[in-house]
Amino acid sequence: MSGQKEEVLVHTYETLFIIHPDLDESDINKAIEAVQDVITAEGGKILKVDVWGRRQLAYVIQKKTDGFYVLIYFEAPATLIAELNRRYKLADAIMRHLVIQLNKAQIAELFDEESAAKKAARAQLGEDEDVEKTQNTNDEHSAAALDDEDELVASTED
Amino acid sequence: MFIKRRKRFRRKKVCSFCVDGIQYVDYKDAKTLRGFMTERGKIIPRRISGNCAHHQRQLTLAIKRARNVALLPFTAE
Repeated sequence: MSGQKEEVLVHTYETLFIIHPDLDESDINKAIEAVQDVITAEGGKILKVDVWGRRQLAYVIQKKTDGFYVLIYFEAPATLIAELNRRYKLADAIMRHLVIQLNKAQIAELFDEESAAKKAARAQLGEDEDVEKTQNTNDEHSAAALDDEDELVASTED
Repeated sequence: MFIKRRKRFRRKKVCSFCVDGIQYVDYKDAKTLRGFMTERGKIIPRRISGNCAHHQRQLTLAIKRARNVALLPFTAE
């Protein structure tokens, strides 16, 4: 046991952060590189960088309605996470950040191209279903009159 | 009489995540998560959505994470 303690436990993480939208391209790239540097400098390994780009925020942050999203998958020892969070807080360019440890199922999904393709297909199909789903829940909300429910059953049976 | 009718027509709710075979509810998939929130941004309870306990737990965690990074609203203004 004590012999193994020397070995550093490495986990897989993902981190999503929002960069200030008013910065120009070079400053955005600089901010992304700064995060990558923190990860690699502390003994982490970057697996994948996914730049989502400019996106509208769900609510106003620092009087801004949009932000530049970047998602990074990486492997790192647990000690790196505290340092990474500290650096996130110090960085003026970064408005919000989130670091999450991935479990086995998620890691498998990340490296399994097939499931990724399936997911994309489902997302496309899901657009119509989503509308249906929200309608159903709305019906249930509206006091669930008996007649309404009868109609619902009838439609599902078709 | 009424009770009887209710019983007969009660639709059995199924967890939509189990149906789709989803192992992990992703906080990045805001569109899916939105379907389990009211228009005001509240999380829809299990007794209405019909989710199983396992997936409802994952769902609430995912929604809360998504709120933190402004993918979903805390509330509608």
